[in-house]
Amino acid sequence: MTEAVLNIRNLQRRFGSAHDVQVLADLNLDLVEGERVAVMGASGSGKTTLLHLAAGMDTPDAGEVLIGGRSLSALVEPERTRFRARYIGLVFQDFNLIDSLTVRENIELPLWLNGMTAQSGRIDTLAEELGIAALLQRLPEKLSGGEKQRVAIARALVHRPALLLADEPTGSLDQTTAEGVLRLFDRVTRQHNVTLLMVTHNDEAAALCDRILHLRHGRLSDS
Amino acid sequence: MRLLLQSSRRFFYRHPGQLILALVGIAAGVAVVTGVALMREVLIDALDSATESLSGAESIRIVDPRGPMDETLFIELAMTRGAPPLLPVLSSRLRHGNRMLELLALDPLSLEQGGPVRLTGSATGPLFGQANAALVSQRTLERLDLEVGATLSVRHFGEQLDLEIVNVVAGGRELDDRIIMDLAAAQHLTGRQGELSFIEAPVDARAWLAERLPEELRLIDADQRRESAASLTAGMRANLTAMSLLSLAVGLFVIYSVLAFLLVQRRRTIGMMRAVGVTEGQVRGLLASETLILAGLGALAGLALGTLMASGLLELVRQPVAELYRMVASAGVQPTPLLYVSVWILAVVMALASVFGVLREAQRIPPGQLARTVHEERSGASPIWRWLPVFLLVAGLGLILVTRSLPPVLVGLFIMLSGCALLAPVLGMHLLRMTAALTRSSLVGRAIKMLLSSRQRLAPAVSALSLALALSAGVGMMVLGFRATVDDWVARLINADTYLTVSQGQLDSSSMETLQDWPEVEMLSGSRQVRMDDGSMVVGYDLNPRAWEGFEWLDGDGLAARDRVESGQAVLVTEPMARRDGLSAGDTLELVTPSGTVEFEVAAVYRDYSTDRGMIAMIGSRFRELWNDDQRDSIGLYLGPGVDHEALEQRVSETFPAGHLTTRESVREQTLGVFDRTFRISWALAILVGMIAAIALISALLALGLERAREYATLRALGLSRAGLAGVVLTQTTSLAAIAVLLAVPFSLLIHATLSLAVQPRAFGWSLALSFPLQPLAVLIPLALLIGALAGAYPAWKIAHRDPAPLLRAS
Amino acid sequence: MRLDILIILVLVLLTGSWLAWQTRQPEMPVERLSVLSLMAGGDGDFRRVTEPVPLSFPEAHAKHPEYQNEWWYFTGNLDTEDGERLGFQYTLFRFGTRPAERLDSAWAADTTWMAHLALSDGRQQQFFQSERFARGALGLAGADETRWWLRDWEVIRDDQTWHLEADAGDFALELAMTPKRPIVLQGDQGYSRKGPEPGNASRYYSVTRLDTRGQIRIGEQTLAVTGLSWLDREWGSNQLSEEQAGWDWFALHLDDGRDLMLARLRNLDGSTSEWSYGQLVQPDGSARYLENEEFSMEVLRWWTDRNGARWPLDWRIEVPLAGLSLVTRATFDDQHWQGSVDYWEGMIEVIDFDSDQPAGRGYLELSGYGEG
Repeated sequence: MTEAVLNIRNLQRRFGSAHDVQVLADLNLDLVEGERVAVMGASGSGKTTLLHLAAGMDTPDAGEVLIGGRSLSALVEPERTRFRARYIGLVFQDFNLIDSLTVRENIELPLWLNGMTAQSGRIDTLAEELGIAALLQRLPEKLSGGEKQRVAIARALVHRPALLLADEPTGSLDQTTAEGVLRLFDRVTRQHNVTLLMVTHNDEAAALCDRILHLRHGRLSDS
Repeated sequence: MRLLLQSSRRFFYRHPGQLILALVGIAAGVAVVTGVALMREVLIDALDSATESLSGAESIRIVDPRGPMDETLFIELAMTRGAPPLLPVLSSRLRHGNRMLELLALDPLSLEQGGPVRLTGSATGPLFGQANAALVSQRTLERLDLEVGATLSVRHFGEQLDLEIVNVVAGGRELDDRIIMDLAAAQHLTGRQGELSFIEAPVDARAWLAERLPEELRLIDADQRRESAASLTAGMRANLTAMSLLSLAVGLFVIYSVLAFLLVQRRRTIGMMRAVGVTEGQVRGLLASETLILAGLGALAGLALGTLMASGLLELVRQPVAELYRMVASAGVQPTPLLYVSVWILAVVMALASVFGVLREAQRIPPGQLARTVHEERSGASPIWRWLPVFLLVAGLGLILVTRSLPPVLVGLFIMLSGCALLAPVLGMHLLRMTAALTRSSLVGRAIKMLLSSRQRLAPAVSALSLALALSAGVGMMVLGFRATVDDWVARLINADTYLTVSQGQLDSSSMETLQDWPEVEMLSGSRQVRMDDGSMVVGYDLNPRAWEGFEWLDGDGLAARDRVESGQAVLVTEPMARRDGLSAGDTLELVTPSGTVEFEVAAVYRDYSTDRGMIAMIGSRFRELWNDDQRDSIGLYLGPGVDHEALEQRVSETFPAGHLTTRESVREQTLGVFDRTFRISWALAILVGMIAAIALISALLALGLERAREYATLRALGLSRAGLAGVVLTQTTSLAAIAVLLAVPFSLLIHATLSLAVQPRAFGWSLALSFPLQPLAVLIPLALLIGALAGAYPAWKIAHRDPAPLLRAS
Repeated sequence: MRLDILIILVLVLLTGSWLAWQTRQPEMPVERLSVLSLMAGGDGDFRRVTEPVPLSFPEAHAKHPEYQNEWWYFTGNLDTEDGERLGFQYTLFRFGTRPAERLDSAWAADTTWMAHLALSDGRQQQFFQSERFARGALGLAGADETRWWLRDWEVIRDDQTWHLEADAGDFALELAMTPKRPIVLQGDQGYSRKGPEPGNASRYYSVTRLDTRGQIRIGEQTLAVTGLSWLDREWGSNQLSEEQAGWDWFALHLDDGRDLMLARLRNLDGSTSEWSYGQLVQPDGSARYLENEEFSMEVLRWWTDRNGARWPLDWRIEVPLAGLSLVTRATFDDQHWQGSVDYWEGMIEVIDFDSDQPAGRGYLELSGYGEG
């Protein structure tokens, strides 16, 4: 019996000053352990909003998000943040590395936040796997785009999250680099048996996943 | 260029804090300069023009340098055929609470008719023949919070007088704090029958008067009076000017820090602009125009603020001026267009000069370059730049050490401050790095590490902050150190147990003889002062062995030369006198006395802070002989053991009906009271500079918080709790405040030492014993940390209470 | 223009004008030392003139401090050697006050003295005036039998001649005035009644014709002059009744040798008071008191001064019992005294109404028309 990792129920989200722009309308989604789902959609279709809601970084207008069976909306703010730190890994389109910390320190952040600094051996393992072992002492600003995204992937995985949320992981990379990063991403996530929700408009990225869903008019559909 | 300016306009819209900081910084600096400049004018031009305003014409004044003149002189002159209109005036200082007022008693009927200012009609009636009838101007009436018909209680030489304000006299600020009375009533009330202080006459009567005046009288015109007011208040004004320039310097550092910060923030934009073909010259032009507009607007606001502030500042110096120089200044300032325009131009030019470095840097931004090259450029800085701060410090110090006048010292101080400004970020970042290393993996360590990466952006803020804090603390330390010195000096000099003065009548040699026979009294000392033409004093001392010990010799040994002083051959001079006239022990000086010019040997130079005009002390017997003046201003009583003070007071009041005994302790308190009032203005300026520092600090920290919003959002996204993030933000702002204030400590000591050892001796002529009172730092350090924490609290609160998603999105 | 730039411009303009406003030199209201306040000070215990009392000379020339007001009043018409016309006025006023307290000071005074010196220059139609004050203390001003002075302006009597010396800076007088007629006692032996109460009266005597010669300085120019002057001496307390607004006073030297003084007292409504009076002096010195009904006068021309006040400068005068039918004309209009008292005092021409020929010269004083 595989366990449900992510359940999204009737999720609604509106934006705009009058709260009149409906981005997500009654959206439902379920992910079980080890499942890999890609959500595709045009720019502005609400992909990133979906991801932010799934991470508990944004609050829905209606509906709920359950991770491992626990409703995010049932958690109060500090709990939700701690929950995110522990169970969710995030990969952003534009990396969002902390410029003022070295590569190693960046990867170490989730361990530190979860009080797992004793496990820092994982940093070196992941760095080996992602081919960034030589870069650990560098500052992010000296890295290329592909290197930065590999660091970001390491940072998202180092604390072994139950759910990895990836927002257009190759969106800021050129074609060749993107392919390399994707290959690595695929290998590492499979190696660690990560449950993955990825939003993208890149077909190749989507192809890595078990299921591909399309986000249109605030709802998900299979085709 | 229009498009470029349009882009900076939008930029400021998105960063209103930066805009406001730049405006506030320059406005605050300019405000202090304007305020002080306006005040300076009052201390020169408007100090002594009340009677001129009443008589309504530019006037010359007949004075007797020896003191009050006999009223019969007026009669003789006025009755001479062809006499010009003459105005007899008796002037005196009055005290109303803590306020010094000037009594101007004159003969209203002698006022020249046709002048612009006259006594109002109905005033004249009650003015005559009522002993306590007095007039004031409308402004003074309001300042005293009185109404016509009210009673004004004043003290005149310790005696209370109740005056009735019978009417309002037409006149401007020259009449501020002037009480106008009829001569007869004033003589009657003050007991100064037969006396006039001076006679005022129209300027064109100079020749007529010069022909007829007795030789010992002088004619002084308005220019000479202004000059003498100017030289009397020179030390005080120099001090104020120094302070105002320092404030301007802080203002300039603030505007520099803002513009440098803006440049760093916009490197990318400027790189883009260069890439699309904007030339170096256009980028330079853009930044110069921004500076011009910011500084221009800020300076304009500063002029307005300074004008509003000037009256308040003036109020702080009026009393010391009245106490130290016996002049009641106007309470209002009179700005001139010239002054406004000069200050405005000065501010704008200096702002442009201060951003010269920023302009150069902007020009060097290559087309298309992104922010990542910053550090490379930095590490490639030539050794010249690295050693520049040290060079500036040495050069400034050198200039201060080798010159003897005040302006180069101020220039030297400014150069040293520039050195400090350049040194501050380097030292500050070292300090932060060391702290980060010590607290490696804790939240604090991580927060500081994150801060360190933006050293380029923080450098200007750290400079401005540490300098402003240092100035504030340095001035505070100087004043406190000075106060301690004065306290020591008073405690040493004032060594009789109690001092006898009389409010009416006089003390003379026979009083001394009487007191000498009292069994309670062991020894006596006595003193009598006269004021010379140039404002310096001559004092005749009756000295006993203990009184001799009260002197602190700065050059020569007065005790060794005691015989020659007591025989009247030699005199003692104070430090300001020695410094001004270049005298040292063994020199000779010539003194114009009523008995002719006499040559004296200078036996020694002693420490004295009673007057910056200088004082010559000689033995009483010689003084009495030369001035033919047997009076004593006060007699010091050295009492035997176990004397009952009440009984002594009883005995004194029986023997000297108008006599007062003042204990050593209250003389000390009075002296320190005058000192404190004199330096209230310095405190006010120190506090103003401190406030500029606080504003700069808050704005810099707020900017820091907003600048890092995205980084903070990432941390939140990764799962850092609100409390954890608040901790990061607070650590960052507090540690920034902490390094600024830590750096301010050595800088403030440097400023304190320069002010005490170089500026004071050159401005006032006296040296200070250097001490290091730490109270200002004890106040400023926690205050800065508190501000750091408070300024972090807002962004921390703001970021922590928002979902991180929108911030991450807004890339 | 963008709104924000507009707002900044408005703020800049506002700040700029506020700063400019700060630099203005404040205007001071000008108020005058008012003689009325001197006259008003402590009335009550001054003596009043209530009946004729024989006067003795020269004692009467000195001040009478028991009365509140007093004056010594010279006016005169002069000619230069070139035949140009000049007029002068020198008046010493005394105002008694009653101080509330005795002050221990040499400046304490119960008298205020005022002197008016004026010169009418017919050549350029210029009017010079100078006013000064002194308190009655320290010998600054006073009047005794032989000397009337205020500081360095003084009149000294030796024998029969009065010597006036007064220097006002831009003009100066040095005149010797010798009486050609005896002293004329005005009213009833010097008791000059001016109102319904017996106390509405003054002691009044005149020397109507004094031969005058001396020199006058105007600026740098000194002119030798000769002519005729008139001396009025008057003292009392509260002379005018409350109904009276002022007076029109004529002092005429007629070419036929007669001197005519007319004082028309005006009621508040502008009508002629029944207490108006006059005096006709014959060449031999004999004088005749003129009752109100014995003369009449009528304004021929009004002149408006810069403040808008109107002054009657030209007149028609009838004294039937003396066979006089005269017209008087101001030699020039602006002989308006503006100082602590506002009045018109100037030289006038006298013309015979029937023949339209010059009939003499004189002085006219108009009071109660202006502000003061």
